[in-house]
Amino acid sequence: MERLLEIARKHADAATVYQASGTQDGVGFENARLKSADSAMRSGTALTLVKNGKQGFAYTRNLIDREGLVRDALAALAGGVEAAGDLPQPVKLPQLDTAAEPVGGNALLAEECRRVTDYLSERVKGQVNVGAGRGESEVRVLTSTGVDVRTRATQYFAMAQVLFPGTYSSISRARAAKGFAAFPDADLQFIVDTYNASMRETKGVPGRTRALFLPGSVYALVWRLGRATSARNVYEKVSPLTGRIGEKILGDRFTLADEPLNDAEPGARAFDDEGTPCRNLKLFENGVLRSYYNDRFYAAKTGTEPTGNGFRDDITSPPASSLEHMTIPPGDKSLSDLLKLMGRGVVVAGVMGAHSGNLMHGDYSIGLAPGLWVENGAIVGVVKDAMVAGNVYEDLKNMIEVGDAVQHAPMGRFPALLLDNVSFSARA
Amino acid sequence: MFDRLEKMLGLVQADYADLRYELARQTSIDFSGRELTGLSASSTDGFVWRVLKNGGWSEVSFTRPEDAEKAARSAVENAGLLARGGARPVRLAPVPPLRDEVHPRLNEDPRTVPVEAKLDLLRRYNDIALSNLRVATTQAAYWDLTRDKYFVSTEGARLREELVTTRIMGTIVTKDGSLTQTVRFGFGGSDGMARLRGREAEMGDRVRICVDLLKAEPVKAGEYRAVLDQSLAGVFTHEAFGHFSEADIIEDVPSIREKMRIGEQLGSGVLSITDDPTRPGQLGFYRYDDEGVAARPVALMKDGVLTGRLHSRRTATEFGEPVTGHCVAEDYRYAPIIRMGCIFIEPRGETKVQLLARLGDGLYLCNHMGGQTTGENFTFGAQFGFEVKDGKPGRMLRDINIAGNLYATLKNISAVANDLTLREVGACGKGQTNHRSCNGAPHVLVDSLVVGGR
Repeated sequence: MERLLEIARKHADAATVYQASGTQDGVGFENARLKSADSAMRSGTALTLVKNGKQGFAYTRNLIDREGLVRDALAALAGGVEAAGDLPQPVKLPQLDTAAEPVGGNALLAEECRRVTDYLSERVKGQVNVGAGRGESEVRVLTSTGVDVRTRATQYFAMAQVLFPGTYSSISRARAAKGFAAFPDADLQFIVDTYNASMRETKGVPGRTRALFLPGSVYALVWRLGRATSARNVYEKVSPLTGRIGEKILGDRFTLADEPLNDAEPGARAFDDEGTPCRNLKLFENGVLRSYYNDRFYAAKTGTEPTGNGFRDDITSPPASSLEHMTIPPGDKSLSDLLKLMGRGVVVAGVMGAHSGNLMHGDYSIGLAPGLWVENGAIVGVVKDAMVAGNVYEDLKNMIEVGDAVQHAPMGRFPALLLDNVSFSARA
Repeated sequence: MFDRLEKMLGLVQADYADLRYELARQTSIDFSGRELTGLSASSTDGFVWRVLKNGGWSEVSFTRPEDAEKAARSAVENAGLLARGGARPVRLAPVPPLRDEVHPRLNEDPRTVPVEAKLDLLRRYNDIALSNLRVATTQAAYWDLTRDKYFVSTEGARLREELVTTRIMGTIVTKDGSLTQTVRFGFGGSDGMARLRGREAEMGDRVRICVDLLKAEPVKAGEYRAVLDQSLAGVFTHEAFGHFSEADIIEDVPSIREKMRIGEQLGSGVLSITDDPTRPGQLGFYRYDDEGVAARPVALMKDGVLTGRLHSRRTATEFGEPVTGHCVAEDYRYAPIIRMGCIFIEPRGETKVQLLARLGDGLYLCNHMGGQTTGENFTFGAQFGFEVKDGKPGRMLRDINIAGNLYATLKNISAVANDLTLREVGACGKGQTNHRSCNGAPHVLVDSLVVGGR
């Protein structure tokens, strides 16, 4: 990497080298039977050059031909992509504890999957699918301004689900940690109890109702807020939150943060993929809009400090603003408290089509996969062919309560959220 | 390259092994509004092992040639774990070990076009959108990818196929006060760059739709009869039906497998559905899949009766059905999985106008905006729609998402028009992203759909 940077500096005013490598293993059980055991080993290097205020980007999987990679990046300079923002300067970063004892091979994962499968299969009639995986990854960012930062991380993840007949809709729980972490019985019992309470098919009552978004469904709501708090969309003036920092936007109970420095959780980062120091960021605090997030390009464009949110999907894409460590702090209501508070309504236990609809405007209209109908504070069955729809800026003003348990979920770590006055539609 | 790969094959002690190597060259250019935010042209490569030993089947991807032996060892260990751990023993359907080399016929090879010319082309389309005063911003992207794939197996297969994909796609955002509306645009395919040129009029149409949406009314939630345009009917075919034609999706879900029995009358009598990767000129074209099987057209449904299924060599044995050549990987990072190539509803005799006349009162829904399925239930979004009264489209509608039950909807399709259109850009996200996922349909009339709304 140092040699690559050296060559790059001869041709450009500034340069960033990004290198990532890692291994992953995973085991899957389907219908309570061992189905797959696979592995992957990946590596790659990306180079960004800056010359005369323009930038060029190139990448490769195998850093054999350094001159070739520099040539590709120099060729990309010809496009005239503006290099807004300086490269980061070296600073002392917090020491994060990101790596645990590596989880043993696929045999250990298979053993845990078997245990979980057996637990669930003995207690439910539905189909049981369980998967577990482990990974180790390294990231290093080297810049011509003297930044040389690296991190090594380990991850463990697992998923357990019980499917409703004829569908992939399920009651599920996910688990993620730095090292091996067996599924607690409480999580498995949640799946058992919720599934067994929901086996009967029921209709629900179309119209405005209370909706309890379980942790795994909360991403359908925060996805919209993530779009609107992106500095890029603020700079383009298409975000409805443009120019509204400090304004009360959502209900008092709603706080949304990005916490890359929380190394109790897997994937913590002291620096982003541009080498910018990460920091914990409140996006909304008790309903008040506190901050947008950015990469260095949009920090420069909006004249603000970089927040350290420049991450890459892969070495093939340059860094872009993204929220990789979102979380909502827990409230103090248990699931049964939330159901009692709801009285009548729908539990959004899983969603389909969360990406559909006018995300920027905050609209959502999502299929329930599954939706569970609640009467008198108790689940009475599963509703089919049903949707909930609304707008996050209206519905998060009407948030009634927040669950007391934060769970690993798509896009972050969230508790359950109980909302009022959500539109529910279903086949008559 | 073949010799080198065959030498690597010698590293594996197994009942069967194959090795795929891919060299990928990609150009991408991105605009965010007027800002050019990215431009790159880079090459990259990688390998995938697949190993069968004592009935255990494992797949391992790796990027560094020096990891070949370590990766092969992992694959053999994984296969051993599966064989010992009670996994159903895998048997591969027999296929002839093919030897061939395929290069696409291109109308303008993107590799011969300078990146500056690609940038100019993208800028021209982007400017069409940005020149409208109602347009607040755009995302516009040019992308081309050449995959040069080599496949060898211990059975003696030796295949090379080159796939070239080009596309221009993005979103247009219009704004009025705090209201924003978004419409997608996209052109592309597998037959060369010429397809990306001369699409200015279509771009203008997309901008007009996005401007008109600012005045459209949100749809009211409820159950409707509706005519779906080709784009929406194509996504329904892919999302709701097509995924359940993929044998790997249903093989371990007995409740779905039971319903998807060959010979079952699952759809209405007007519905015939085919998947054909070999259809020339369309986005999803390929000749050989990523386990060395020649692709062929598969009649999945004929007059409402389930007649076929998409297979890998493994699932063909499992189901006792013929191989189809539908086991495809996104690229060198992944082992192949069963995928649709080009799935479409076969056209019938009526016109769109005749379908709207049959509808009478209801909705005319247009242009898909993503979809998802979890089995018999599906949901997908429409970018816009119209209220239809007495067969005539009237008020424009927005914020449309549809949910439905696969089996009910297949039976509720009461008419199919004659105007089959295949999509030009695709992205199916089943595990990996398949950028060459092609689907299409003529206009169809559906007698009942649940539409979500506020």
